[in-house]
Amino acid sequence: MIRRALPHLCLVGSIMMLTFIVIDFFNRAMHFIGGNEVFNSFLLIFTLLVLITSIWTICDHRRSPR
Amino acid sequence: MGTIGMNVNREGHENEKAGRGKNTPRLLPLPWVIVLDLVLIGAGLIVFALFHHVLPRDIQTSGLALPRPTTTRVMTPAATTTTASPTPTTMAAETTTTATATATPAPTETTIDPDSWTAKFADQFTDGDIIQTETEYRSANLAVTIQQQQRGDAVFYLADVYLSDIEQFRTAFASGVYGRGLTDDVLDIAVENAAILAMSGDYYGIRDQGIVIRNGELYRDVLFDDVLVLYYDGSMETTEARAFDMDRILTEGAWQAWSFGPMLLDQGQPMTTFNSRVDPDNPRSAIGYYEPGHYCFVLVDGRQQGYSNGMTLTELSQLFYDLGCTAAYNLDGGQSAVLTFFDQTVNQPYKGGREISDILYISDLGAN
Repeated sequence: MIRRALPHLCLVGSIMMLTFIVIDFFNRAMHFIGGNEVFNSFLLIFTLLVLITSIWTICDHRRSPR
Repeated sequence: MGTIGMNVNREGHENEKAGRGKNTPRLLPLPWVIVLDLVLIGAGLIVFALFHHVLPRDIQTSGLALPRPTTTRVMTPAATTTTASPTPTTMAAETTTTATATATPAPTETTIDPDSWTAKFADQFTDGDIIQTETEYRSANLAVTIQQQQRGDAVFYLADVYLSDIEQFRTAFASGVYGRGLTDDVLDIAVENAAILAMSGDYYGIRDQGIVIRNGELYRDVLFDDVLVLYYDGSMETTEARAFDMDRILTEGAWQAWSFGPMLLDQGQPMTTFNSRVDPDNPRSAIGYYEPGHYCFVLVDGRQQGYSNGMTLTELSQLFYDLGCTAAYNLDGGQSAVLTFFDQTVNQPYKGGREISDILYISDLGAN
């Protein structure tokens, strides 16, 4: 269940990050990215999700016969 | 025959299940997967926004009181805009006055005379009576006049302000305290503070950066883009972030400071490039400075086809230049742009306006 959910969570995080980048590009006043604890917490969680997903995927690739 | 058909169907279904394996879960159809991911994205954005700028936090009932100077700032007549010097030797973000190729007049320093503005602007004030109409307020200490004008496809309101005391130029927070996520209507904040004239501020509460000095108290000293400082001596200065010197403005007696921007005039001249990408036609709120004691609030309505489309930053800059301002600064516009006069909203805010975290206002109550 967790393995199936991880890629989706990574996708959700990626779309959120892209949303913040676009909004901040056009309106710096929102300041979603950088220098605030909420974004830093989100970035930490997102990074961990990507890290775990990547490790699991690499292990699966190595286990699967060609 | 019917029974045999049922057995074949049951066997076929069981074979299909066997082929999938006992522990292989059924996959959701792809459209449902897409919908579920979109719902999760929406939920994630909502949760992020809640913690980023909606839920109240960082509440402060008072800031660090700043000392009031007894003399005016030392400045040249043209030094209302501070930008970083373009020469390599001064790239270390030092604050400089606006150097040009022409000779700069010698700086002057005078002692503050509390009666100086009263005398200078005597033709704007009354002898003691209070004159109040829908667009004008005059007393022995204060003069506010509001005009509606049109420039191209934009309707704007120009509020001309003459003060006798800098403490008539005040700011107020939503809910009366500093804090992230605290918002209220501009009109409600204005009425609570008995404002004669009020306008949207810099919405400091939507982010955790930006210099916040309000009514002589420092609440936040984290830099964010261009800064506008109003000093106790009535002078107003716009500064780019890279040229900002916190120690200097505290020493020279900052009364108010806002962080939204961008600055709209460079050494009194109109600008065409700005520290902002919000340049298309938009509702705008901005403040202009003529001289100590004389200011203007400009509120541009926009995003309302057939009434007013708004202004670009370039047009806004040109407007302040045409008005004769020596410095001008953009504040929170868009749906936040609201101008009030006593208990009435003067302009037609886009979608009725929105709740924001602070206002700047003019009061005839004098120092508290």
